[in-house]
Formats: sequence, C-alpha cells, structure tokens
Amino acid sequence: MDLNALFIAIQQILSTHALLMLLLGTGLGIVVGAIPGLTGAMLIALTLPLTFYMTPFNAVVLLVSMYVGAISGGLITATLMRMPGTPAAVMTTFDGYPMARSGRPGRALGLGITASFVGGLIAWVVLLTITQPLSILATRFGPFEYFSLIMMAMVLIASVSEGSLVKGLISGLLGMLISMPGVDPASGMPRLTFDWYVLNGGLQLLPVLIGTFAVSQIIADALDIGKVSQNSRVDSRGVLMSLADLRRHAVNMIRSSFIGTWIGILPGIGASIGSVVAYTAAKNISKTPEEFGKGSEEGIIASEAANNATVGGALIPLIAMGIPGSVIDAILIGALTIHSIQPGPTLFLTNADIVWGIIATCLLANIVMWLMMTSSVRYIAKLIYLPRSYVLPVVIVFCVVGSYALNNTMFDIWVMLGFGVIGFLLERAKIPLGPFVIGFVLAPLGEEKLRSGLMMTAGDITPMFTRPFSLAFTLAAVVLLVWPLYNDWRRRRANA
Amino acid sequence: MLRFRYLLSAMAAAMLIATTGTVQAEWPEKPIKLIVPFKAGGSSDQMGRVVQAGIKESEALPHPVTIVNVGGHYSIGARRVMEAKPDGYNFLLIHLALMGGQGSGALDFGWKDFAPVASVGEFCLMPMVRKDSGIDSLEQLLDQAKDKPDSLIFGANLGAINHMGGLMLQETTPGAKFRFVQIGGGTANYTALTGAQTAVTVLSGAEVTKFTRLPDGSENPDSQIKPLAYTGSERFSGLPDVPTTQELGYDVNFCIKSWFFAPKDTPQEAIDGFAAAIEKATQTDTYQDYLVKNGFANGIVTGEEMLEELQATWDRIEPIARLAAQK
Amino acid sequence: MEQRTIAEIGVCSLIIIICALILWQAAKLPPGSFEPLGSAPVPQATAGIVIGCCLIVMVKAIIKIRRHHSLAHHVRDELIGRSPWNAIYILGGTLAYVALLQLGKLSFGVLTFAFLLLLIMTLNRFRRHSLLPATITAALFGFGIEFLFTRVFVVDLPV
Repeated sequence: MDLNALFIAIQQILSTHALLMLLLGTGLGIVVGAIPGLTGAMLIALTLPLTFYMTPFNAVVLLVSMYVGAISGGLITATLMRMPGTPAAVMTTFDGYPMARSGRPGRALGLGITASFVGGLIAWVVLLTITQPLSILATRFGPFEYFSLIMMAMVLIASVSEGSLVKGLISGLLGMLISMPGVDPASGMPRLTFDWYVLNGGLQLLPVLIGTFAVSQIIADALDIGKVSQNSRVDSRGVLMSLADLRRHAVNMIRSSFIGTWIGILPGIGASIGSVVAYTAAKNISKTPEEFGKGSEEGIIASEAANNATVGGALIPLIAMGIPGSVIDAILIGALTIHSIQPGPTLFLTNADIVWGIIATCLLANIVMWLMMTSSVRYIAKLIYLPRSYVLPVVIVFCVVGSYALNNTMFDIWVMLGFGVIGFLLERAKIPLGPFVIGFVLAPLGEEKLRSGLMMTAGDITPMFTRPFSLAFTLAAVVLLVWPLYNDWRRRRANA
Repeated sequence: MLRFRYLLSAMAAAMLIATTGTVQAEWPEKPIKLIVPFKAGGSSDQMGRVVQAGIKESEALPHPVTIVNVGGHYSIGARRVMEAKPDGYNFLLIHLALMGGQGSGALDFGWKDFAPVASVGEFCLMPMVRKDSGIDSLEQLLDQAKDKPDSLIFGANLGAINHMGGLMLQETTPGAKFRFVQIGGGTANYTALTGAQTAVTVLSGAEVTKFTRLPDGSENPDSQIKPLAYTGSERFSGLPDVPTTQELGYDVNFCIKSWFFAPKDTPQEAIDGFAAAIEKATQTDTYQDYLVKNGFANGIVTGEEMLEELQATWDRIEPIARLAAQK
Repeated sequence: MEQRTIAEIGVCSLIIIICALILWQAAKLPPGSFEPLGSAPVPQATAGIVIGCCLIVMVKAIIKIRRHHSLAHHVRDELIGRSPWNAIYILGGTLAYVALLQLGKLSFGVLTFAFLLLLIMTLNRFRRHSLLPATITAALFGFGIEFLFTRVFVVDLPV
C-alpha cells in the first residue's frame, strides 16, 4: 500500500479539472439514480463516448463518481415513492417507504444516506488494503461455489416475503420462470422463445424491473390521485444520525458493509443481491424482526450500506486482475481500453496513476455524495408532496426513455408496460414483488453455474458438499431456511 | 386556446418535416447509423467507436456516424439491419458469431442475407494451459486429449467463438476430445484457468499479452497460465516466441475479423462510400494506435475480395459450427 | 380485513396460463448434450411448482368464498370502491403514446410534449389554472429529453 501515491492522486483530483468531473459525476449520478427508469449503468454507457475527448484520468474520475452517485441516488425515490431509482434500491423500498409515509421522510432518507456513506467507506478501506489476496480467492470460486451461494440467496426469498409463504414462493418462482426464455446460458441455443427472434435476448432486467416496481406503482398511485395527501406536515428531523444512533446501528452497518463488499467482488453478482443478503441477515439477527417491512431503521441501513459497499467491492477484481465485478465495471473496462489502457493483472504496473485515480475517486465521491445529499435532504423530502398528476406522467416518460435507451429496442418498452400490469395485478392479489425480482436476477446465474458444474464433473453433484466454501454456503442456506421456522415454533410454544 | 392552436401547428410542422425527408440526393445527406448488436464497452463496440472516431478525425464523411448498441442476443440487432430500409443509412458491425449462429441452427438467416461492405482488424486465438499442467506443446495437449478423451476440461462459451476454436483444434487429431464446459468469454476463462477450475481454454493474442506479460513485454512471473500456439498464418507480433499452428504441422487457421454489412439492395454508391470512409478511418493514428494495443492485424478488405474471403471462412466454419450445436 | 379472493383467483389463473405456455414450449426442447440436465428440466420443474402453488391459493380462496360470504359480496368488496378512471387514463394514454412512437411518424419531442400535456390536463380534469404548469412541464421534459439524448449523448431515441 502506497499512501503517498494515494495522496498525490487526491491532490491531483482536488486541484485540477478532475474536481469538476468529480462534482459533476457524483451530482449527475445522484439525480439519474433517483429517477425511476434511468440507472447508473445507462448514464455511464451514454457518457462513455463523451469521455473519448478527455484525459484518461479525468475520464475515470467522471465515470467512477457517477457509479458512486447513482447507487446512492436510488434511495431517494425508493423511500419517497416506493419506486427504486436503481435496481440496487429495491430492498430500501420495503422500510424506507413505510417510514416516509408515517411522517418521517427526513429520518428515512438520513438513515439511508449515512448508511450509504459508511458502506462506501468500509468497502473503500478493503479496496485499499487487501485487494490482491481477495481477488485471488475469488478466482478459486468455481461453479459449485457460485451455485451454493445463489441457493443461499434464493432461500432468502422465503425470509424476505412478508405474509403467506406460498405466495412468496409463487412470486419468486414466477420471477425465475420469466428469466428463462432466451439463449440458454449453458448451451448457447435459444429456448422458450415461441420461435420469435425478439425473445432470443430474453427479457432484460431493466424493463422488467421498471415495469414491476415503477409502472405498477404508478397505476396504483393513479387510483389515489384525487385524495389529499394524508400527512401534510414535512418532518425532516433526524437527518443527521446522532452518536447514539451510530453506536446502536454500528454492528449492523459494519456487517452489511462487509457482506456488500464481498458480494461486489464476485463477478456477475451485483449490488441488488448484496442488499438482499445484508437485509435478510439483518432481519434474521435482529431483536425486532417483525418491524422489517414496516419501516425498520435496521432494514434501511442494511440495504443501503450493502449496496454502496458493492461499488468498492466490484472495483477490487477490476484493479487486481482486470475482471469486471459488475456491469458498470465492464463498461469502465471498455472506457479504459478505448483510452489505450489495458486493464489486467498488470494495471498497477502500467498505469499506477489511473489505479490511484480510481481508488481516490471512490473515496472522494462518497464524501461528496454524503455532503450533497445531507445538505439537500430537507428539500428532497418535500418532493413527496409534489402533485401526483404532474409527477406520474413525467415518470412514465422517463421509464419509456430508460427502457429504450439501454438496448435501443421498442420491444423493451412493451415489456416494461406488460410487467407494469403484471406487477399491479400481483400486488392486488397480495403476492409480494420482492421475491419476483430476486428470482428473476438469480435464476439465470444459478442455472448456468449448476449446469457448468455438472459439465465439469460429468453429471456428479457431490462436489457441492465436498468443496469447503460450497459446503459452507449450503449449510448456511439450510440454517437460514430452518432458523426462522424454528424461532417461530419456539415463540408459539412459549405462548401456548 | 391559443396554446392549443400553437401545439397543433407545431405538430403539423413536424409531420411535414417527417414526410418530406426522403428525396434521394448525394449520399450521405444525414447521419449514418452503425448498429452494434452487443452492449456498450465490449470489443465490437470499441471497434465501432474507434472507426467512428477515425471517420470523424479524417473528415471522410460530411455527416457523423452514430453507434446504436442493440443489447440482448446479437441476432436481434443483426436482424434489425437485415430488415432495415436499404437506404444507405443502416449498417451492421459483427464478427464470426454470425456464421457460428447460422451454422449451428441458432439463427434462421446468415451472412448471405447482407451486402458486405468491409472487413477489418483481424485477430487470432491461442490455446492456453496452466503452467503447472505439465503440458508444454500443442502436440502434448492434443495427445492427452486423445489418450484420456473427455477428461481435459475446456472452458468456453458454448456455441460461441472460443467453443468453435476448441473444436477446430480437437478435430486435427482423430480421437481427441475435450470436455467443453460453459464458462463464458475471455476474461471469465482467464479467471477460471487461473483458479484451476478448467485445464484448457483459448484466448485472443491481446488477452494473452494483457494477462501474462509485464509492461516491458517480458513474462509476468505471477501469471499462472501460458500459451501453446497461435492460430494465425503468421506469428503474433506481441508474442513472437509462440509458434503458429501451421508451423507445428496442424492445419488450423482460426481468425476473427470485424465485418461491416449493409442490408441487401443498399445502393452501391452508399456501400462504396461507407467502405471508402472506413478505409480512411483505418489510416488515422487513433485507429492504428488501437490496432497495436489490441494485437489486431492491419488491412482492410472490401467488395468482391471480401465476398471471397467470407465464402472461404464459411466453408471452414460451417462444419465446426454444426459440431458445436451437437456437442 | 380487506378481501382479495377474486383478485387471487384471477391472478393465479393468469399465472397458470403463463406456466402452461412455458411448459408447452419446454416440451419441444431437445435433451442436453453437454450435461445430463439439458435446457428443459429447470423451466419445467419451476413451472410445475408454480402451478401447484397457484392451485393451493385458488382452492383456499374458493373455500373462503364458500364459507364466509356470497360471491356477490366479494365482488362488491373488491371491485367497487375506488374509481379506476385515473389508472385507465394513464395506462391507455401510455399505450397510445408508445404505439405512436413505434409507428415512428412523429418526432419523439413532439409526441412526448403532446402526451404529457394531454395526460396532465386529463388528470387535472382540464382545470384552467393547470394549463400553464402543464404546458411548461410538458415542454421542459418533452423537448428537454429529446435535446439531451440526441444532441448531448448522440444516441437515437425512438423516432
């Protein structure tokens, strides 16, 4: 670790045009992250061509700060409108929205912002200190390790869904099923496409997600347009967490940050899963699990600390080995390559200034994000009282543009609308939407890894129980499945 | 009411513009769309953007080229160009995957359904093994695949280029058989091979340099993997010590180029015009720099010559692609 | 407590139809050649379980209807109440908007402006005092987004 180089990079950012890039990137990231329908990945993909005309250093500063900003901005609309601004903020809607509805939007936002900041910071420290050994460990993760990890996350569906277990199962499995049409991950041939070529690419995550969460919410909100908002007092107290708050939530915050960091490191598993795992871990450990889903402070903190931590985590394999830890990192690698910088195991040797630029930006953007968001939260919280008859149509336009712009196909817009209706209907039947998205994200990965593993062993599944990491995850999955049931049973017995 | 009337007149004006813009004059009279049927940031996207920048830099065209990334499966973007209006403003950038998909039956159309424009930037593959595998040559690798068939784990993206590359190697030695496993693209295979999850894979020359060499070109002692051969007709400039497959006595040539296509029936004027613009772009420093950094070969092939080249590639690839679909 | 039995039965039937379609498609898939599973079993098993779960929910709902109230009571409880008109305007307006985008006869900016203006006015029941803010909002977002994407980011919008 070369602290001197870090200071030089920080100094370079603060004293040149790069500072402008940092502020612009973080600010734009927050705004785009907050708008349902537009995501960080889209912002970065669209900005990519603009960075050709910048120095490579300024380009990475801009792109990395957008990344940090976008992951954080998602919590605003998740909390205020129950529409996750970015996929990573899905879990934040569960507790942020109820808390905001009960008259404490400021508090809900404040918790999310500080948790994001802490998560980003902890992941950054990991990035700074143990990048090398962690990424070597990650290469040892084979298909069976991934599969058992994903199974563990799938089991979490059961704990995430409130209400009926059968309905949670329907939702999660339906999500899995919807993810399956398209090119089979394990054979390269199209399947379940109804011989319709448009389905060769499958249903994309973004339009499905915007549909089920944002559009369905728009339809539901439209039913209430005429009514006057129930809580007309803006209460934005509690924005800054007190020392007592911090102490109370420290364990949760640190645990969630480490979970987020580790999940960020694993290639292909994104920020959304980081926050799912941290959220359910927090719920299972919590003394008041019944509060989760009804405005629990712990829930907001777990979700937001973890999703910001994945940013730093995902940069670890990028810097150490040239392996993208997330979709955004893959775009970042493309940006570096176009600037004639080859990301790879020798990036530190070839372009140390760029690496330190990335690391320094990761720190500074988190600080800028925290300053920007805490200072404006009073005004942001008032957005909840904008007249819905104006907000909803504008959000629809953003959803349409967002669904289109990622892949440039009209089909994605129709998918989004279709899932808006499906999401609305599922909610009417009290089928929870959380498991649906988790199933949709995890199933393709899980199936691919399982079948890759079976290809390696010629059909033998025993390595799942003999490889240490894989065994650990499998056991954890069993424990996570049984623990809530056992707790429930014990409580009922105590009551009887 | 006044505002409403304004709105109406604005709409009418817009409609007028939309309906009268089709008069054919000198090509090009508006921006040209280059569809890249992959997500932003990938190697095809980079190639498209470098050509785009080169065309701008050399002022080869009076209007800019806009790049449209069509995500999902590559067949979606390819089909969109195939069905696009052949007005000279829609082009496609794709590579060998198109033939792979056609040969394996995954696509119901293929390269013959397009008008070829230009092909640039050739790169070839390198079979890779772990340094501690005890395998030191391509011959040893294939012998082991023959002695213990279906035991060497070959990391690939099934049905894609690296899978076909592996099959082509395997077919040189009767009886040899790798066990192909779905891993993914170059980076994923580098990870899996480094982590000893797989035993063999193929990587592009540029990927090998990137992952196994130090900046000064010498070998990176931390690297766990090594190349055995190069599937080009000449040695790879970045790694001149690695022999070609033909030098080793194997009739294998497996190289990938970036192909620019237009919809069938596109006016010849537009095809020639765009090909000339691409050629000018390849002469810029931006493009040349990119070639060197990524280990692509220089040169551009157009017109009849490209058609012959495509036919020769198809003859080689079709049987392999069919094999890839079966196993 | 709010009753959802009619919704449950309706939605579960819909899900069962989706599952049946997928089962029908999966039946056509060849067996796996690289590993024992192949493409078909995972979707088939998933669809099977979902159908099972849906049947459970439907049976429970039917029992509930039989036991407690008459069907008419449930219909009244669930379907009548809030006025659905705003949701219908939004959904219908959006469908028309996207369909017109797909046709590609009008530019994105003009269409979006018209869509926003008409929808906002409809949701405000064409009240006079909302005309000015509605026009400003529509112009700002309609033409603003068009400018941002086509001029700054140089990408195509659905034209």
